[in-house]
Amino acid sequence: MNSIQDVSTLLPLEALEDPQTEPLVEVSRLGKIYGKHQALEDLSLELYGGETLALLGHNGAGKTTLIKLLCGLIEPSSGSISYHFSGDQNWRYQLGYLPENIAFNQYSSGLELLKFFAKLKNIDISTCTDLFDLVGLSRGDQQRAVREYSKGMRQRLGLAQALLGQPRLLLLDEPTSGLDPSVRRDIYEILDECKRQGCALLISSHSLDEIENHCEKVTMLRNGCLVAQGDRQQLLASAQLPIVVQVQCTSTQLLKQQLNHGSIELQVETYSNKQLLIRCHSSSKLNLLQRLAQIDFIEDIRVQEPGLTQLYSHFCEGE
Amino acid sequence: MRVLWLFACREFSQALHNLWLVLSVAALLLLSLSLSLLDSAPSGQLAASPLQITVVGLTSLGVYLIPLIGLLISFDSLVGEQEQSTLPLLMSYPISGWQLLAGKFLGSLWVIVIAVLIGYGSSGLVLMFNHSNGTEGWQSFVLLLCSSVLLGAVFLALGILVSALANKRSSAIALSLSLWLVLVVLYDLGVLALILNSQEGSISETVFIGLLLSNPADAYRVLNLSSPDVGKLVGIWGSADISIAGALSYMTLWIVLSLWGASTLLKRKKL
Repeated sequence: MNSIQDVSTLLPLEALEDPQTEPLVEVSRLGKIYGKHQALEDLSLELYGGETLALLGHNGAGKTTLIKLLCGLIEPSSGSISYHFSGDQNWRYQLGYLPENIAFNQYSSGLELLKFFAKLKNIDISTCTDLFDLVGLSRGDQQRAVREYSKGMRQRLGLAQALLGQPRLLLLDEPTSGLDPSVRRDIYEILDECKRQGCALLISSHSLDEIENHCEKVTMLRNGCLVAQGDRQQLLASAQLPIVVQVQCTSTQLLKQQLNHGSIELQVETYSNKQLLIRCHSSSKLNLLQRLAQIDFIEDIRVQEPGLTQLYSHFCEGE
Repeated sequence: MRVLWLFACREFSQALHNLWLVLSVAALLLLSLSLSLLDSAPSGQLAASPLQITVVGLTSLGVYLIPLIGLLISFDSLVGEQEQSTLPLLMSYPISGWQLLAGKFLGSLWVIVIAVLIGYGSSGLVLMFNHSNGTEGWQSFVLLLCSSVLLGAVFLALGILVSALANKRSSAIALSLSLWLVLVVLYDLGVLALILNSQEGSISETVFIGLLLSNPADAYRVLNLSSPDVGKLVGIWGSADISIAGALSYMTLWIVLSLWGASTLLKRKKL
């Protein structure tokens, strides 16, 4: 793939002067009803340039419904969406959308398709070959019919069409679903650079460990309702989720006895015949580690801080 | 217009890949050349040119074939995109539903135009050059070409309407074939039954003509079979006093209403 610095010629040339003051998109009390089913209820959020918002939730939680509402594919049943893009262009020109399981007309080549989408957005088609280089599709791949593309290649093509026209807002529904680790890494490298250039990104994903390192804000949905929203670090702090310390030792029985005599509130679980999992509040972490450091039959210690996976379980599954 | 043109080119390109253009041209070419060979030897008391006889034959058979071609080209224009999951991505772009529909209609119409011009036009040329009175009745033949394109356009628009209404391709093809059966085959039987079972004089010629023109297939027959050139060959069809403008207006109305209906249904389609 090309150097990530090349992204800047294909993305908004001017990062927002002060990206945090005014949101690019404001969603106010949004709701969507399909027949008798409430797909989304009373949802409000803001998207700022230079930030990635991770949209999380179980299947059927309303994530795709929200993205389709933001794309203008469906009309809300209640509430409103406001776009604050600069310039006179219609907001759809400043939007990039990558749907889940993106599909294309199979008989066209990748280049023909991208040129078609570029023309729809009234964009100079000469940028298409640069976008192909950016997403890692070779000149040969560009000329091949899309029906011969692997899933990873289709997703790269999908990302290329989403990046057409230097969008200020990127809506991505499961952008790395079904892709191998190297393609996932490449895609997130591009998305991170888009963010640095001032794009607002909203990514729906089930790969929590993966998106955790790339998002600043989180919105969690359950059954169409908002259950948690805000800065990722602040949510983790407010949830007060326990840390997990994995201890490898020669005698788990002996270690358990020693831990039971302490004053720290611990939850101890046998992981294997030589390993224990110890859960405690983050404020007790240092005390616990100091105690463990004094025990000579301990062979190894690993500390697992609560992350997005634990946060998701806490809010979306009620654990 | 730019977006409309883009979708028209895309639709035409798809028709090329799907061989619809080749098949349509082949079907109409075979039909017209067969008829022109059969009809090219007029005899008896009716002195009619080969072209005029061919117009009658092509009208009678084309009224079955052209609507079928139109419906088969267009029945999956929207529902096919919906099933392939390409429709949501398209609609996320700065385009409107009517641009998509009009572009698909226009691109498919090019297929009909080319098929009619090559398919029917070639038989006309063969007749013109092979017979001493080959050019007699050329006005009727030109009317046949234009009305055949219009008939194809009507059923293209109806196919797009069906495609907007259906949620599955299987439903769309079933609806399309049913529509063809009703409008091309059963409607005339219904009108005939109505006339036969009604009291003498209860259905005026105006009402009868109105019933005919309300159906695009019959409007096509009336257009081509009631002209002065050809009317003498076709008995009752030739005796009807039909305004060409009136027949064309009815057929155009079918196109407008079908596309308007499709546009309305597209807005309600689940993307």
